[in-house]
Amino acid sequence: MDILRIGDGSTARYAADVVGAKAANLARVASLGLPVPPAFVLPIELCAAIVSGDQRAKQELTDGLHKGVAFLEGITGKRFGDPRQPLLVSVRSGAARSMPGMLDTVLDVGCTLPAVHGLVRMTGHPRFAWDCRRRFLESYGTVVLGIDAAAFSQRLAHVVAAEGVSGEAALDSETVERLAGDFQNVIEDDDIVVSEDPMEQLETAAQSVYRSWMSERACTYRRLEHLEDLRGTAVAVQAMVFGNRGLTSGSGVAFSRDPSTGAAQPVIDVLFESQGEDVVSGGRTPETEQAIGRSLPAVAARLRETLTLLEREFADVQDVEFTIEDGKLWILQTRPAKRTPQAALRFAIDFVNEGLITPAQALARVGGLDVAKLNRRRLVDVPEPATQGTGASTGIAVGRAAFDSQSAQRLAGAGDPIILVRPDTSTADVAGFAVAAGILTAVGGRTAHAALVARQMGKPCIVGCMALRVDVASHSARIGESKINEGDWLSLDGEAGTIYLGRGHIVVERPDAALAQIERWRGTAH
Amino acid sequence: MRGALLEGGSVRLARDRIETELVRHLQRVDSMLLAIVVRQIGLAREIAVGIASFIAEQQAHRPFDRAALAALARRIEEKADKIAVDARNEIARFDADRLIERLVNCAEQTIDELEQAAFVASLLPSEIAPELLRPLADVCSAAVAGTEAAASGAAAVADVPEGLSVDSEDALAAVGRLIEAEHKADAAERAVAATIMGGEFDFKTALSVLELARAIERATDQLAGFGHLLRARVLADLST
Repeated sequence: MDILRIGDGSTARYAADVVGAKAANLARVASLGLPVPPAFVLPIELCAAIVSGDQRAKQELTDGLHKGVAFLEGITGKRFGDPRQPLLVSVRSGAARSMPGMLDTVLDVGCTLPAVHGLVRMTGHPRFAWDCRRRFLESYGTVVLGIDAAAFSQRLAHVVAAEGVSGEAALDSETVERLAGDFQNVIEDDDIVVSEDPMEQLETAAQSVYRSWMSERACTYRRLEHLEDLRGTAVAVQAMVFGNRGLTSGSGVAFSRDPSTGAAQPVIDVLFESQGEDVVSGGRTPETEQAIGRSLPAVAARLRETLTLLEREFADVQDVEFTIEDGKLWILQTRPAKRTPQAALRFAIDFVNEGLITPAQALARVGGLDVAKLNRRRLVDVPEPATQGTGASTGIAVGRAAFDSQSAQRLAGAGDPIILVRPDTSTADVAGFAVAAGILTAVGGRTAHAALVARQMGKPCIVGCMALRVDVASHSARIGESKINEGDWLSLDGEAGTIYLGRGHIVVERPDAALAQIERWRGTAH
Repeated sequence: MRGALLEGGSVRLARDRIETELVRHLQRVDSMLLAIVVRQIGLAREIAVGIASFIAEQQAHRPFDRAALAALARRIEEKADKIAVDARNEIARFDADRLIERLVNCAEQTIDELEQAAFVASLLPSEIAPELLRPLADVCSAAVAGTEAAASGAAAVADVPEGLSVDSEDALAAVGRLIEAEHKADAAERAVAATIMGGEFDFKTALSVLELARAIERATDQLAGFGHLLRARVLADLST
């Protein structure tokens, strides 16, 4: 079995149905000379065999991982699990078609205790080193060992409260070190010992990522998106670059144009001193492009140039994951952006006008759009907004509040539209998204994976609504003094990000000019 | 020794084994104590980075919660004091190398100076002239670099007994960076003093800015002392 190597100077291109769309795109990005952390990829063909427990496939996986790690060690000058110059890797999924956030990723693999010592030696930054360790334990514990993520988040919440700080980003280095110890205890409380052998960590992580193909949410997503023909996921192992390295480091997601409204302006979310999962998991509310421009103007300019370059290379609006490590920009992933139907229509027209695609290509892209979903809807007869969040997917939604996926499915059965109200923006709620008319979350950014899914489904979505306090256990929420109970009516404007208490009325407007343009292309084509 | 003798080994062989075990044990104790020193330095870095961020925000004319910075530094100092007391107790309990105790003391004094600097920073006037902020940023940058070199150096020193030259080389390189950081902080502090003496600043600005620069510069002095101790430790390890 051959592994694909990325970052060795090769300009070869690969088929997405062999190595996954993520790896195929990343190899293409690297061939453009853009900074991509080196990586190797185990192919999709292994997925079914690993899932079925085939021993020969497991041996092929082991052999591939050893070859790949040797490649990464050679190109980075670091060694896996080393106490002096440690190499840490991420283990990522990648199917032939993008399934954002539905498959598993394990980060900071190789972060053994000797490696923590090595990270301190390399950087002189103990907080960063222990932050990598606690992230590894959480990621490996939940994905590979199957420990409930809530056990880790409860320990974190306890420590944050005990230290009297605003959140995990404000924890000092001694506390983060202690938190890493707490996370290890969480795992050992289940009578499990995390291996300190980095290759064993890597093998088990790769197997888990392959097996995540059959997870409930992945199967649900494939069913909803009619992706049942896909054969499995590839596994990409990539040298870690660290957005949590210091003040001039961060992680983010950038869209080359607004995937919600279709506006020809990039949408960029970033969290400084963080790793990528912090942004896409929807568990924290990120900052915008202005924050990069303030502290790292050269990086902000480089990111804009990169977005333009990638958009032209792929002839489509791109969704790019990036990391800034000590002021240097790295591209971790690019893929076509999930978009609302309205945005899809506008992109098609703008791309033709800018000469990036032909009218025939534009027609192919908009051919499957549901014309009913292209109508612009406005809210009328509503009071002043109760509060505002960040509009992540345009459109108007009016419905009854539900606070988890099960309740949403139950209430939807009664025939009324549903607004799914959640504390964070998580892909675990995909079944609830499917039955909801709109989605509202307290924490998370426009670029969280779950926001992508909402856009793809064409559901109005508002994220990062800071005034919203959700109590899932009691099936209620508060906005200031107002209490929202299960079944109460809410109205959302996904473009403005405004939330209204009560049942608004919807006025529908057709995008006649844009539809006329499409008809003119059709006329020319015939 | 009894085990080695029962296995038919010589007394000399048994003694060698005991000595080897003893050395390993002492190395483990020293590694554990040096990990505590790294923990202290990690906290020092947090304060230094906080002050550097404050100066950067001042330069960009953006608001900054300076009271929160002073409170954070105070909380870190209290935590670091407890860590230092525990470290001294452990050193006494294991009768460990007293040089490590001096490293603990240096790290503690570094944190004290930085906490003082954070307190002074909280009293600075809201508007400070750019020609003062520039050397203040330089002295902060030197302090951050110093704490990072100290943590790297202490971690490398813990590995020196393993006998690889890269460990002693890395430790001595970190010592060099510590001395360099102290020189840079000294130059920046003098630039602050010269600017104040040569300019027309009100009393509060002159006093608070000078006090801030001096407190941070004293922290880098402590870190330079920390570097000398690291070097002594490396040389002692290499000579055994």
